[in-house]
Amino acid sequence: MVLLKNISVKKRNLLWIIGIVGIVISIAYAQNISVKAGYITKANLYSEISTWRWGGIIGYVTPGTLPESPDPFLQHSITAGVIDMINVSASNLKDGKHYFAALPYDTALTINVSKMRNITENDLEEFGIFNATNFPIFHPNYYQNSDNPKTTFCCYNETILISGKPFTAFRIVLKNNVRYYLLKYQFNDSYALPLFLVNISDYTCYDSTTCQFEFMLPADKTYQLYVLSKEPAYDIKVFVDGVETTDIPNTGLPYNITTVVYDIYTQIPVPNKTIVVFEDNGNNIFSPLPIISTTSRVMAYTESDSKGRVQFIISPTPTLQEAGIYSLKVGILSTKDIITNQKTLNILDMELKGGKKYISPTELLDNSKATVVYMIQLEDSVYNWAQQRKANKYTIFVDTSGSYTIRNESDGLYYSSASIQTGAVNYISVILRSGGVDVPGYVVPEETAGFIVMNPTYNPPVVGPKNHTHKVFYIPTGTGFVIAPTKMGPANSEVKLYVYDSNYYLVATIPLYIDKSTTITGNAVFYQNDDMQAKIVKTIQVINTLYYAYW
Amino acid sequence: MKKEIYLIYFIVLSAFLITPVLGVTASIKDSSFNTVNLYYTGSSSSDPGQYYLDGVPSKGNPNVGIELCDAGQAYVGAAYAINVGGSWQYALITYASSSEALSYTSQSGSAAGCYFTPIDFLTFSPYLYTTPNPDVYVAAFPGRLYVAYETSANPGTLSNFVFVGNNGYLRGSYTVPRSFDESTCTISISEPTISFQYYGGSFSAGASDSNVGISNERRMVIGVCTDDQGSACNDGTVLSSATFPLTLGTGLTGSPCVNDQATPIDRYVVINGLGNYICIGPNLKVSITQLSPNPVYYNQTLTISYRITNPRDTPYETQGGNVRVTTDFTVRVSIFNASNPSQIVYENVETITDDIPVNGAVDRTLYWRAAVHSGTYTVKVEVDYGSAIGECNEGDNSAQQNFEVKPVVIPEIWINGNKTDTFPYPGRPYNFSLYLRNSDNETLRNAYVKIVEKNGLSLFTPTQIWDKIHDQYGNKTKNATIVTSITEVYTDYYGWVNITLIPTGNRLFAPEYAYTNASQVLGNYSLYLTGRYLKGNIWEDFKFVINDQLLDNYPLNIQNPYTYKGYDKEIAFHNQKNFVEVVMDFVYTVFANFWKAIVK
Repeated sequence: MVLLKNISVKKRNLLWIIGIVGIVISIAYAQNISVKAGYITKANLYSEISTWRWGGIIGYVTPGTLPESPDPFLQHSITAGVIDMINVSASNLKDGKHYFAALPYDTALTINVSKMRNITENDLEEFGIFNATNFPIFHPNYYQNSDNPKTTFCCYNETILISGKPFTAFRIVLKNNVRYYLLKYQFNDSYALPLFLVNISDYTCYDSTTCQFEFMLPADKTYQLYVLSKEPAYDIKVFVDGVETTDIPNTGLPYNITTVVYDIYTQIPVPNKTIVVFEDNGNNIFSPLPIISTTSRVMAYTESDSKGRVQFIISPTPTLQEAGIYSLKVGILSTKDIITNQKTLNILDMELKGGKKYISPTELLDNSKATVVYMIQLEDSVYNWAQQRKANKYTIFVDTSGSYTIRNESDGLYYSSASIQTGAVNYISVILRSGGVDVPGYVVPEETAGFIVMNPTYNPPVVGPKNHTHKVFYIPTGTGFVIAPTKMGPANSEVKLYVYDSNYYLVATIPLYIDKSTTITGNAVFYQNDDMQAKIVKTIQVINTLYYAYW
Repeated sequence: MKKEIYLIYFIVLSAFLITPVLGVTASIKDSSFNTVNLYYTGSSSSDPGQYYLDGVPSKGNPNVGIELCDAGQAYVGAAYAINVGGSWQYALITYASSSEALSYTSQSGSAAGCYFTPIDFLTFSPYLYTTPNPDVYVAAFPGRLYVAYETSANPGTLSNFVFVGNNGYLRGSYTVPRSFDESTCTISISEPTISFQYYGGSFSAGASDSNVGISNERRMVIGVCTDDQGSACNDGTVLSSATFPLTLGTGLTGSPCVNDQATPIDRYVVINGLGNYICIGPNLKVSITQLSPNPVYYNQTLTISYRITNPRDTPYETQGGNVRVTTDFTVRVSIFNASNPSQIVYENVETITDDIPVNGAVDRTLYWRAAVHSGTYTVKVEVDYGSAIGECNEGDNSAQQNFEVKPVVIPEIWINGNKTDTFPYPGRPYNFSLYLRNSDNETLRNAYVKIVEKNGLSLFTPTQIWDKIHDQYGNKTKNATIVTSITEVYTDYYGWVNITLIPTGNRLFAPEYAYTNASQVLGNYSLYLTGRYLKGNIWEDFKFVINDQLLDNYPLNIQNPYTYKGYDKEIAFHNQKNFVEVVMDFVYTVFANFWKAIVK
């Protein structure tokens, strides 16, 4: 038995298996032939046991994730008359959008969709892709062997999609309605090989159990097995300061993070994909009060250019204190808040050591400097509010019907809207009620178009503007939280509160007006929280580290 | 045609306009239009925040903007600046954004004709920015600011400035050593010490400090100016490194470019709008270097020495001393009663013709006989009494010192009725009358008088000299009897003493007795008087000035010290009958006994 990460393989004698479970392969659409040499059936498997030129794989998909990749996930040799049973942990691929593919090649090979070709009848002739050099098992007397590939596959065409590209394949249907495809893989002008593909789905297999794929493959060959996607499949290459890596040396320093999104099977860059760099539970201005079991997430995102490329200036914000809960990743922002193709960026040293580190060119550096200065001003203002033990304080009562009213805690009166201040401690508590009775729920405060420390630029030249979003998921209603908007200068940010019921159904969206004055007014009331103060100081340290990086 | 004339007129008029334009004002203000003086945001040379950043309330700095009045709406920025001969040199230290140097005064100001920048689009820079045009440098140092106002955000060159002065500045100060060199007509400026004032305190560091000093990012505008703000400068530069000492011109020309009559000349070393005064000119000073003896006794000679200097007022030269003196000038020396300055007892005016270089000196000495009533006197020396020299400080041209004049005793002596202090012969009685007064012409009543004869003849111990063994080896030295006869007596109320006195003399000191070596063994024969008297309530020893020498003893002389000669006629003596005869009879008896003892 061969054990790989996601795969286990058991070899069974084909006769034994066929005798017991009857893996019977037939051609569903070979209407003029019921039992015929070359169309492998239980019967002719028996009858040609000594001359079988094919072997097989019966595959089972077990729970687990197998990533889309152009690299083979399994190398496997096929023995004449033997069917191998393979377990593959790849439940993520059982979505009707993926194939397993087998390429007769002795060494691991990165597959490239651009080398896949439509199959033609001519390819199945004696000197075609199953020629004596590639498949001596069918030679000599190619046409006299009833199970030759032409007899087996020719010639029902079906258009299939691989990575979004249409291909004309020969299709046969194995017993149990397993659709089985044949394409040509063109290495170069003079060398091509067959490529066998099968849908990943649930099929009733030999012992009435459910299998997920089957392969019928020429024997005495070694195959590389791949995952192929019908839809385009992406991956993101990450370059840190021009070097392809996912490792970032230090926290608190600026790096040029360039991402290139590309189709993993064609290696072609993909434009107009929304690439996001997001940081969970770092140090930022907007959410200065850590709340246990919630995630404070900042995101910088934009669409990839014609070369599939997005450049970010990223300064990781964690310190050693956040090491256990922190993450920095890139991904593709598909729909709101859903990020696919995530790739973790590793911060090798989370100790704030500082040091000088520039970014270029000059106009980009200046943009980042100005952004850092704004963030220093904002965070210092937040610090000042905390030092003065002051906060704007509101309690928002939300009905499950979506209506809400806001009580200003400075005067105890109720209002339809609330005004919070930028760079200030704004303490808010949301109460969700149904019929006047408190019910559980969640609130997600969000600031868009503000400053985020992780992406210390604002509408930068050269690398292009980025969208900024800062959210805190999911704060239980009734739990007070603090937000410090970052509306200043060019950052005309907006803050909204999203209120969900206990089933995460959106109940209300509450916009908050942001006053750009940082001055502590008479509207402020007493508020003190040591955790918040410590977090503010930590954020100041991170921003100061960033400041001196540019000095 | 009329329009063209107006246009030409306007162009000509504009050519003569000198910036800053009068009437235009600028201020640094917060959003409530309060004038703001920004604090330094670091609290030591190693702390974070080495700049004057606004919008950091915990450091005492609100967010600020610039208000510009009477210049319309414009693009503005604050700068360290100086105007050198009509050309502005500057370092812009605020920005609108990372790509725009100047901020637009888009909002209404605090008064009609005033416009204000949005506070978050005007930032006092903590960084060097090179994308804006001109570059923006770090607001790194204390200073009084200029506001530049232009017609675009990135004008490249700034040419319109208005001095902000006290309408918003960067807190702190400079201590800058400076020195004028008359040979080059330049001012040498040493490394300034910068005092950074932060919210709650201050710290100092040198301009070359690696953290907070001058660098390419942290520029300092420095000049030599005729005003204290930098609007009219003779020379100046924008420093991007701490290249001190820095030599700047003063605008003085010619050879020599300055003389001691055309001075003083005011200049300022202006650093980022903060003026540091330096005076170009000489500064004569005088000091009394000797005033002795003090106290001086009546009729003694008082020595008065003084030194005239032209000291360089290192290290700041606010008092000048940096130009040599070549013009003749006078010195007046006066002595007056300390308690009554109008009572001048001496006055002298002297002309000094010596040149006095920078840090040079001239010494003079004069003498004065203290023939004045006793008391406290003041000697005063005044240089450049005729104000011939243009000095940086005319208030330090004199020196004065008090001294005391004390009285001496003036004895008046009559010997046998003759007013003399010389006895004709030893060994015979004299009528000795003494009247005592002092130099203030006061009679010394009831004064204690001692009349002393040393090594005279004594019945008690006739003079004897012999050898004595003074160590265990038998070495010998001379031993002798030194006899001193002391007559103690008090003057009467009228200052008189009248007694019979017999100076005994001693012929052992005569040449024929030289073999006795009496002088070497005993010392000389002497006869003198001394004593003390009450001056106020204090006993004062007698002091005598004889031949300009101050003496404690008044010498009495014997005209023929080795000749014993009697009188040729009978004379009556003071206290003769009751005492002198009786005592002399006792002496005779002693004399007889002696001879009886040795002659059989």
